[in-house]
Amino acid sequence: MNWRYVARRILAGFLIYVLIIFIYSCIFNAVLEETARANIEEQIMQEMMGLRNVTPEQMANYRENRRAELYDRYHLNEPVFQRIIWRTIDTITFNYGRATSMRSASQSQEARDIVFEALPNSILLFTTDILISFTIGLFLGLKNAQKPGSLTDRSTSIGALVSMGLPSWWLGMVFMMIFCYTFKIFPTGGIHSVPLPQGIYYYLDILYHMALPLITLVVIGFWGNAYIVRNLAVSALQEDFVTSARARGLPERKVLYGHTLRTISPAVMTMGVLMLLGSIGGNLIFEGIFSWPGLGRVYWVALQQNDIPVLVADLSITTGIFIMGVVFLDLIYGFLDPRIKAGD
Amino acid sequence: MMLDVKDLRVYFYTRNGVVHAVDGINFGIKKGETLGIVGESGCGKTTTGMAIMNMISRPGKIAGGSISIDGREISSLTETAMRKEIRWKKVSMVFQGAMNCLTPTYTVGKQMVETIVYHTRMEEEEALEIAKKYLAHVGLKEDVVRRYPHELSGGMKQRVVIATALLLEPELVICDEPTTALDVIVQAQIINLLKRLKKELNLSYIFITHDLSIEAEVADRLVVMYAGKIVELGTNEHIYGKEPMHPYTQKLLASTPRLREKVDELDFIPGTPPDLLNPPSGCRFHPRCPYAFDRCREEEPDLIEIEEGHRVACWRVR
Amino acid sequence: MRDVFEGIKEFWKEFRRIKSGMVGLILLIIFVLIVIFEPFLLAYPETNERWNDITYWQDLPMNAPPVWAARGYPASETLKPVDFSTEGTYLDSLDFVYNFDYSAPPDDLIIALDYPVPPSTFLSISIEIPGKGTITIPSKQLPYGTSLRIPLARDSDFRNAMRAIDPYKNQMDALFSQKGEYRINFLFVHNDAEFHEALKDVRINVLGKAHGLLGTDAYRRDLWSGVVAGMKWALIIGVVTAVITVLIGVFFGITSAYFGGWIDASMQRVYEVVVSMPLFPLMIVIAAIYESSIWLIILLMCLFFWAGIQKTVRAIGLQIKEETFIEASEGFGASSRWILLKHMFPLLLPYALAEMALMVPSAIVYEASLSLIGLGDSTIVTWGQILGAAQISGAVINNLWWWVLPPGIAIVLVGMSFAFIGFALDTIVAPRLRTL
Repeated sequence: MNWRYVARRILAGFLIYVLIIFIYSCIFNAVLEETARANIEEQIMQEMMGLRNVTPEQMANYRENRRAELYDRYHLNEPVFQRIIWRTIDTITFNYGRATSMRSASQSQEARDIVFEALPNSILLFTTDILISFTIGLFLGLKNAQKPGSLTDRSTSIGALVSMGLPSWWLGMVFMMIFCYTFKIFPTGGIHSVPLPQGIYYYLDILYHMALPLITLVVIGFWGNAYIVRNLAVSALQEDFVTSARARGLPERKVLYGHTLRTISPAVMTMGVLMLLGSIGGNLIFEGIFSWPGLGRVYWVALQQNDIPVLVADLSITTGIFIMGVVFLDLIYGFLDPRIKAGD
Repeated sequence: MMLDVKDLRVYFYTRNGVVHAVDGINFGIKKGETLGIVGESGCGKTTTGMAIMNMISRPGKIAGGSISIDGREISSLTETAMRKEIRWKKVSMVFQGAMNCLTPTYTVGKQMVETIVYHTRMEEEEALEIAKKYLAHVGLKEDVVRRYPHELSGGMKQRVVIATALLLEPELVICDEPTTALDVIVQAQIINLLKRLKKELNLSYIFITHDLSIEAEVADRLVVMYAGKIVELGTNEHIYGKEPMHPYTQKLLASTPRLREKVDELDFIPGTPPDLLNPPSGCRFHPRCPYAFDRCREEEPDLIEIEEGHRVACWRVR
Repeated sequence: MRDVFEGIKEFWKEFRRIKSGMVGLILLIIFVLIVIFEPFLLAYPETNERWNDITYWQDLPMNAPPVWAARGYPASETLKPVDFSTEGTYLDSLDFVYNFDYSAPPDDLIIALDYPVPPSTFLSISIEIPGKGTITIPSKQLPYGTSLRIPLARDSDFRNAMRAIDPYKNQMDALFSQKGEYRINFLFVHNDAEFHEALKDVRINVLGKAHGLLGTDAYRRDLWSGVVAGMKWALIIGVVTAVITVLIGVFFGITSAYFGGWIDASMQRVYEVVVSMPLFPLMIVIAAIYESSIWLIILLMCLFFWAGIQKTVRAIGLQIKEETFIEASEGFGASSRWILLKHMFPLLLPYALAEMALMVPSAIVYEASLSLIGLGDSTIVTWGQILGAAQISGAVINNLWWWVLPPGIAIVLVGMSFAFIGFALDTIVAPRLRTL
């Protein structure tokens, strides 16, 4: 692995992140400043409640002074371009400001805490999904590539096409209706039982809660993977090096899982990471159906409570993860394809 | 005979009908001999090579005839036995378009070692030594084992492919257009290499090409194929020394640039190779043959021995 | 022109061979027919305009399953008078018959007339319960000036009367304790000649336990009408987004490929930034902050979706650029715009068509997802919004499958039809591109 290539790619990713945050700041600055001003007024009001023995004039003075002070601190008095720059810097350093109404589980009012608390749950659910869908898709796809046009092959293609227009959250609703309310097999949402189980049961409980969301995601996800792997493998299997490997007397197992798979692996990994990005792009709100306390559900709750700082914080974190995915994709690709190293 | 092919038929069962890619051909090879197979593209030469490896893939099928290698009939072997005992051990192959025959994501060493280890259960280090030995044989440095195919030039890749073909000391190597994609100088180098290896290792070759001038360099005997059939078979002497007997061979020869002779004008063969879905009646060459007469259109000529070791399928030479 | 026609004919010949493509095409034709004949298919003609207007739906039962799924339960129906007689001046009597043959009573009987009630109008109601005699609800003065609307189950006089029959049952159970023919009589006392004429149109809306083809939701809306009305929006969202997106993607890709150099480099940087933004979360925040409308949603999708295809287009464009005819045109002094439009674009058109069809499902799913979390365009009816309402009203918890399944199935079917068509087009187009 070429470390300069790695460093350069990571740096490029970071620059893109900064640029996108800047774009967000331009789009959302006005509304964020509005909430910031409202927050300041509220803070001053609370401070004034604590004041004793002051004349109305002193009150008014105090309000004016405090306001000027706080506006200064939050750069609200500067020209608009500078305010946007400050907003960008704040956002990159995770200073998203205070939530207007949401609280984190630890009762923190910081938008950052609310989002960071949700992050691991999303990662847990979606990486597990991707690992499972990816594995099923890989083996099913390779199997189909060996017999193109077979019944399983054709059903997989049809499954892949149908799943393109199948919203994961809708399937979630249907599965919930069947498996949570009609047949009471799975819990109806959330990530923990009440009361919280202890020891090993704590983790088993999480698994139990994760089961149905996971099944839903996998049921939708693996078709597309199998289809992509199948197409990659079918065209690879027609290549001369496969014929050559077979002529050398190598068993089909080695030809398929060795030569073929190794050669399409850069493209297959791309697919895997693109799936991750797809999850971040579209599947996140799926969490809301199962009340899974991840980033996606934070969007739902923040929307219901019209909590703009949390929304923007959530968006920034989502974007950061998204870009990390893109960078990771490039690195993996470079790592798996020997031809890239020479080129760069 | 180390290889004996009798009445071999390979048919492709396509949606539009049955393609008779190879239609009843006979030939044999003695140990240490080089048999050239020539013909235009689509005449069934590559298919013949693949049939000997028993690697005809769907929708193709060996529809009849027999192939025996060292007296063993390959159609009676299971796929596993074929893979373990014949492929690469007895018969190996240097493919058409050797550029793409190396797995791009494996190092050269890895694909060579893998082959040896699978067939001989040898330790990897030992296998690597063998790989290096054969790389040296074909004139490559040892450190090529660590290289990826894309890091090698075309000629180097072809040498690797040839070295790979020799790993298990096969008796017969099928060379399918081994030099087509290379430039002229590298072509000559590879031809010389193949000739040298043959002497050193006492190999037999089947040398498949459309280029008669190359055959003249390497082959002991020649098979000329047209539309899935053998039209002429003879020693190099028969074909190049005297005037060949079959009109197709004559045309083929006339359209080939020669290295050592001065040719004023290159001939070309009018018309196109026949549609193998609906081959012409009678002699398959008759629509393009300047000497064709009625009998050629109606009856198919047999391959008749006209002198010792020289057979021709043409009504005119009777 | 002839060439184009021949080309299409040949294309069609290939297309017809691909079964899934034909299935997709037939489905699509059905969908288009549904849109064309929408006015005839809507059970409630003002569905489009008044979907979110609860007064429009107030005479429908709440959460009623479809009729075909609830056999043995009373369906919604409207009773018309079987007899209208006048006893003296301004004393009008109307008879209704309701054949009750179900295992559960209807939810309500609503007496309705779309005519303003004149002052000092009195109504007395009597109901003959089969085999049990007649009960009479004392006459009462009707509120005047508005149209007549009395939901019996919520009427205190009626409830009192029912309590007298069976104090332990709810009023509708008490009334419909017997199967058989119920005769209902209304006696109107009034002093208005025109009202006398209008009274012929008095009707009883039976709020059944089952309703229509697809039942009703918690807001009493007729789901069949909602699903039918959503069809055109799904097609508009899908097709408009796909067409614009693909055109942007194709022109971006070939421009980048054709000019090369710094133009290519900077265009590819723009592309990198765009693909690095998570579209759906961004759409959520933008739609939450700025007022959402269907056109804003389509615009946002168009601004981002093109990135998905430009990479492929650029790669193909780079190949086309090497073709000799491009060089030849350049030699003849053709402008770059001419070359892009007349030479490169037509070659990519078949590919673009396939990509358009394949993009439709995602566009529909994106809109539905935004609508699910309440960020849709509230002035129109979309399947996503129906599902969003189902989600917040607890349709899942209450097992109201007729509310959850049909809009989702509709989304899947429309997406599927386009995906099938796109797949078929792709199967035909891909080998042609490879030989380019």
